[in-house]
Amino acid sequence: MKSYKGTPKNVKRQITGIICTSQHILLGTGKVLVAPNGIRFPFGYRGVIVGLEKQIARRVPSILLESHDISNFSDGDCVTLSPDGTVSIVWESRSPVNALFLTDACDQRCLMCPQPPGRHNDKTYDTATELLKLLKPQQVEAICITGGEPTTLGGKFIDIMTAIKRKFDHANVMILTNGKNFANFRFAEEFANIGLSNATLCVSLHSDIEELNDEIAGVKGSFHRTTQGLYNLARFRQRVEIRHVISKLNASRLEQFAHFLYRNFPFASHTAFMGMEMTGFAVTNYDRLWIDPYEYKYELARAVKFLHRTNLAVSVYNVPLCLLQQPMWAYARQSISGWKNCYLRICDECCVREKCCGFFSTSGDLLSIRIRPISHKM
Amino acid sequence: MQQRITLLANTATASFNKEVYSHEAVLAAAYHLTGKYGIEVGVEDKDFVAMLIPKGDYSPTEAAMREDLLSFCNDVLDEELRLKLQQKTANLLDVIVRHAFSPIDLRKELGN
Amino acid sequence: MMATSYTLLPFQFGCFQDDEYLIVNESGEFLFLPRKDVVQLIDGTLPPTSRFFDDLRSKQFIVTGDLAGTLDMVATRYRTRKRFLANFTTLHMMVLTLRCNQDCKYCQVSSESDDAYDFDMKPEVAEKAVEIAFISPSPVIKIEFQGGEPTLNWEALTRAVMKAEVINKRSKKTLEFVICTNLTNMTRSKLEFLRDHQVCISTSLDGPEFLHDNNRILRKGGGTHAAFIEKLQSAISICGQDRISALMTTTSDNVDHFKEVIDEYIRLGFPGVFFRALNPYGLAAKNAERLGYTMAHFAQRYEEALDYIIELNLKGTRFVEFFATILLSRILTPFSTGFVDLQSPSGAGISGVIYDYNGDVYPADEGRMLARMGDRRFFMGNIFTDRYDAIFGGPVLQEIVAKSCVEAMPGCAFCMFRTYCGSDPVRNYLETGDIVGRRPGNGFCEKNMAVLKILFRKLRENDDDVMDVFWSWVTRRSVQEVRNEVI
Repeated sequence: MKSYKGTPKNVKRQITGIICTSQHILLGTGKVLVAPNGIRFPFGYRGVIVGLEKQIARRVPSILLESHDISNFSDGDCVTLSPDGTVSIVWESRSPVNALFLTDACDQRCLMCPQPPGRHNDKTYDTATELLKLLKPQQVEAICITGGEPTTLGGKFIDIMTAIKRKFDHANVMILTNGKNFANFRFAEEFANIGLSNATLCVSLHSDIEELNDEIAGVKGSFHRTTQGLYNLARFRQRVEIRHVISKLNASRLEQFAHFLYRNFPFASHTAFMGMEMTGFAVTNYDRLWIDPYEYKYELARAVKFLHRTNLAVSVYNVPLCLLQQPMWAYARQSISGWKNCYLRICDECCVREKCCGFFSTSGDLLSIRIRPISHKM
Repeated sequence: MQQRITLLANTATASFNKEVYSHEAVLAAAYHLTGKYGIEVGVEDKDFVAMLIPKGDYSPTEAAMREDLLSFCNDVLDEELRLKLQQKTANLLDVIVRHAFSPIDLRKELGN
Repeated sequence: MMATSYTLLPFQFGCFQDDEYLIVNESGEFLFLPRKDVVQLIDGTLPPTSRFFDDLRSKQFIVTGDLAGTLDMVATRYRTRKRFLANFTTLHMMVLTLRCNQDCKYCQVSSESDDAYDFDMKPEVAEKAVEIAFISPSPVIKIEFQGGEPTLNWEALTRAVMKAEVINKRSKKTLEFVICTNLTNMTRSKLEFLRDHQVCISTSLDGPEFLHDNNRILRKGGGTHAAFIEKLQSAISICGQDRISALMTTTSDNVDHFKEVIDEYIRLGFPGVFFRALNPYGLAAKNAERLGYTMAHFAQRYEEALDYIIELNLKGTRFVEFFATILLSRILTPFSTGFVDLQSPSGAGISGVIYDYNGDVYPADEGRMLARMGDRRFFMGNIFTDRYDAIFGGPVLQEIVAKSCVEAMPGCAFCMFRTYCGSDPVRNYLETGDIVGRRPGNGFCEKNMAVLKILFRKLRENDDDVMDVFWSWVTRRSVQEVRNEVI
């Protein structure tokens, strides 16, 4: 998520609130006002973001931001104001999909994890709960539940999913998980009983070979626990998707992985092959992991072709079109969250830039050397 | 000489040294030919001896019978392989089928 | 990741061609391996550096990691492939009459003459059979009307259909009807009834006139092709092409003319064909010498026909060979295929039963014919005098099940195609006097192995175009959809 550093005043503990960019007569609770020119009497607001230092009624928490930062907020966005002066946008009203962070804790240590796990902090969970309280149903089209590993929260995970069921059952809910905790039958049952109407569990699996999978996942036993989790979810007729992040370690077995998926998990409604985000652990383990996507474009095409033959839905995420064989373009999606999506200068000359997912800004310059604009529409 | 094959008029014979081959493999290989041949398997000294006589409508030329006999010999080798595989995996097949229809505690089962 | 030893999981193997062996396991996976690698594999000495090592692990032929975890996966896949068992009896066939307006030379159902009416199924019997059918736990009930020519006993058919619909209001199962008819006796009003009650039509077409009329003749003499075409057009216009399918019976007359048969089927708008080999008993056995051909001959022609059909598909005409599709589904997909004629344990009795005019129940039509000829070996019970569980859980069915699992039959247990194959216990009994039967010299085995070999040769070649066609059949889509070329 986007974060901006500013000067805090009166921010004793973290505040979560919905942005409004102008003062209303009829207010409602939980609002954070954005006042570029400052404000004197911000009564009724949980907090204020100001662009100019003016005298503010003492008790209202405020953060002073640079003028170029302050223009980044839209009505309906949800932000947190921290005692250290950080303003983070935890929900972008203009984005079709938003992530709901539940925890930093994770029960795996994937070699390519772009967001290295940490200790669980209740503040993260509380922010998420508060956010769900503040959002209006009509604002929410899609929610992506993520972390760390959301299911490590056990009962609290069930609670928050139940809250989503109550208020946002119409929304497309994607849960990013390694699936292992669903190996516990009771837990899978509890989840299924919530009865979310539009939920998909996006389960990551790294290889068709047990030992390689566990090496990438960083924890022995992951392969079989994820398998059992998938089986249980299938038993309860839950919608499941498989996500496969491609690195040098598994790029040579893409087609075999596709076969393996179809034969063992034919109930999966979708498969996503994903390019790496080169940040976090992916950088630490660069030498083991890095492969130019251009190097695996043939194997990827075979894997995708195979899954399409079997009538399973398949997509490619995070690989720019110039690095894919042209028949694969139909499967490539706009997969990168707006706030960390960028293009290169040379992409301005590319005739398919509009359709291309571009790059992770977080990957910095750890990119393919084969990036080039496509000059003719094919 | 570990193995002798002979073709006489209308009979083919092959001998298999008992120290090298097992009788199960010889019998199993013989079974595959019972559509075309009547077969008798016996023992002579250190050998199993299989005698093949074409039956029914099957009237092979000498070349054809030779081919059948050579196939038979190679088949015995495959059957030896099958026996080895059986020894190593038959118990697992039982476990798989049982577990498929009435789940058992696999770890406990394999621990035994 | 060095693994120095591995555990073997159960699999079958056999020589496929030259030095290449085919290995197939309980998960339904297959691999082609040179013989020397098979020897090493079984010996326990295949090195981790072997180019097959990872695929062997991925496909569950060997385990280097968690054995219990992998066995659970194999068992899950095994159970999935045997899913047809859970549904128990889906297909309920009724012999409405032995009378027929035709006298086809290969017909197994000995068509009676003057006292034939005595063997018409009374409507009350048909209704009772329908009641029994619905006791089956299957969520799908498929009622198939056979004969002779079932349209000749129209009252029993209509009463059975009505009865089924009434019962299904309560049972809410998926109810399907099929009528196996030669169509030559069909009338407009009958077709309208079939349309109104969504009865699918399964008919017979042996090829263009010069082939069809060799064997499919009227009782009073003369060919049936012209009449068939006329009635077919009516059926299409009233019931719709979607509800009509045809099968052909291979005889020495048409075995060398498969291309003409295919062309005729396409000309008449059929979506596909099922190339059926001759069954050697019943009336056919009497004419076997004239009508017969070797299985090797059939296989050779079948392969040519398959190549022709694939070529047509690639040129834009969608046309399916149904037997190949069933086998390919077993080889390429993890799913269960309900094909009664080739299951393990046998589909006869479990997946499908047949009801005779008097309510006697048999596992297959051949069992019924045996009883007619005095051998009541396969008599399962009578719907009027026996309870459901005595019929469907009785000694006849139990014996069939116990003796028709290919995993434990001589000649099948170690066959490389075993995972994809099945058994025909009634045919075994007819040919050898024993329901287990023998494999060498067994025409059923020979035919199935030949077709499987043909299909595996194609899978071995792995030609993208051919695979696209195969997957289009298996997933019921067009080749363009399979290639993602639909605009």
